[in-house]
Amino acid sequence: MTPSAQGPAARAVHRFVPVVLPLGVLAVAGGGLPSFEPRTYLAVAAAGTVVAVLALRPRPAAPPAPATPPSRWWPWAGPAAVFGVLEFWALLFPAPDRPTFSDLLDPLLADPVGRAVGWFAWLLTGWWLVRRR
Amino acid sequence: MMMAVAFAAVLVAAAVLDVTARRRPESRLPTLGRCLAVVLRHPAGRVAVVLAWCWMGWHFLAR
Repeated sequence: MTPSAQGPAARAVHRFVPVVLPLGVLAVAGGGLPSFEPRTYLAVAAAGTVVAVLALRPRPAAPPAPATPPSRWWPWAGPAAVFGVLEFWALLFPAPDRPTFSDLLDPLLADPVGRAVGWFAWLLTGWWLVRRR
Repeated sequence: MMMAVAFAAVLVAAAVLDVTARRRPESRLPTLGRCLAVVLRHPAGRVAVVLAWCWMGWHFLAR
């Protein structure tokens, strides 16, 4: 049975499994890499370079214009602005009770499982950027 | 603790906006992906988003 003859769930599996599985394997491998080690920097740089090259290569054709532009984008400015203010406040006036977002994530990313989840989210976003070119 | 709560509130607010955009199309609220897609249509925006993505990997995963 071809994917087009199947239901939405089967089509989603056919579409995402070939992506999610390799990214999952890479994420587990990345999660096992130690902090501040040359091989870790190399792995991040290699993944970043591959995605940047693929995402920034010229498009084969002009993308179709959206039917309706997102006219009500402004509610998104709220969380973005609050995040920016919190981050700059923590950076400009550092204090033990005023950690940055990175400081808060450090304990989670120190754990191999949390690190693998971070790798997976990062790689999945990179794949999305490549697909969106 | 207060900062953790504040950052968590920001993430929850973003999640609520995204879910609202998906469940209520009549709200004309774009999803986060749609907002990013608009930025990605411009060459400078595309470079900025890809560089930001690279920086996140370097900052959060290499250290």
